[in-house]
Amino acid sequence: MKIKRLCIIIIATAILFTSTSFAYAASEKEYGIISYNKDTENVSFFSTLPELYQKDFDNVWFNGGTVAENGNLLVCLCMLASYYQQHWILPSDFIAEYSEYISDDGNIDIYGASNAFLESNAHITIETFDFKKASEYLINDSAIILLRIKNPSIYSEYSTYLILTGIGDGYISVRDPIYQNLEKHSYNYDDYAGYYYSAYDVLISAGNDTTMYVYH
Amino acid sequence: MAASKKFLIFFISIISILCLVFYHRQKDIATTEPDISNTAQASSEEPGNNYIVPTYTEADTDLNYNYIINANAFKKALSDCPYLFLQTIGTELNEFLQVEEYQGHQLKFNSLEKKGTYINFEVSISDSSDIVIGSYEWGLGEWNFMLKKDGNH
Repeated sequence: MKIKRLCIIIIATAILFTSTSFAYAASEKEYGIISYNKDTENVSFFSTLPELYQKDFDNVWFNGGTVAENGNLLVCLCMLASYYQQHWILPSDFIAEYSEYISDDGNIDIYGASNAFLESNAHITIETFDFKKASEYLINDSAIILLRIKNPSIYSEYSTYLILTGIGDGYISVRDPIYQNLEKHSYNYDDYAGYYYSAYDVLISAGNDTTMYVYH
Repeated sequence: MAASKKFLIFFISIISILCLVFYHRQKDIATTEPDISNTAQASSEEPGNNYIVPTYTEADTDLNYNYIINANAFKKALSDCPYLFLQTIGTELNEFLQVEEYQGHQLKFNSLEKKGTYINFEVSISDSSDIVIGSYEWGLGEWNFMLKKDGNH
């Protein structure tokens, strides 16, 4: 009898344990668990643009897939929004806070969303990409540029965005939401400005048929 | 111990182990990327570094765009080039190659040199033995391209 009772208790515990794990798995899939591993609690001020990578949000759903797949622009805007709002705005926060600027098919109104998170901190202009102008903005205005590379390039076989934070002799410092790119294309790192990409690579990849969003 | 008791303990142990294995499997599924897209692939640059390939695409993206992959190899030569050359070469090369029915190829500079007001270059095309020979005249902003098929003019 004792053994029978013991058996029943063990089986019941095992069943409870398994069903709990089902619920846990389901909730993660449904709502998306952010695997972002930075300390989001104690950071209240960014002296420079914070780094976010698409790969860290492979469980957050966006536009028929995950942020890791479809969140290139979204993650760029999260970095910018976090910087200007001075607190972390992760993809799920951005989707919730700026939903009115995100269309049903996942397009983000960059100008509208930017004006919303910039408030009175700065302003945004949209211009056709011009390397000379971009350099002047980066050097003279300390501007931040969100560069759209609409066609396949060394940075992605699809569309991609880069955030340009500075420029120097033959290099452009960037924030790139595609972590794999840093391993392949960056050759230096600066705490303040970010990763260094070859200016020639960036310029040739951007081409003459693209847009830059300048945050002044 | 009776044989039935031994069997019972064995049976319970098996069930418990199966439950634990199942639990860990579910936990793994929940914390790794679900395969929800046909376009999602894991890239494996290095063993252990399996990332999801970002497939973000905009409405006006030309997925057949032919793009240059080794601009930085010509850093020295490029440092004296007018920026308009740098900014337009990708678009010009792609337009020329699309007319020649090349789509979605990677382009690699084989050489790039300046002679007077001309910048001459040779570009190879991935998955093809054809070569593009081109020049840019920076005074007039004129481009010239020629396709060298299988090493022949």
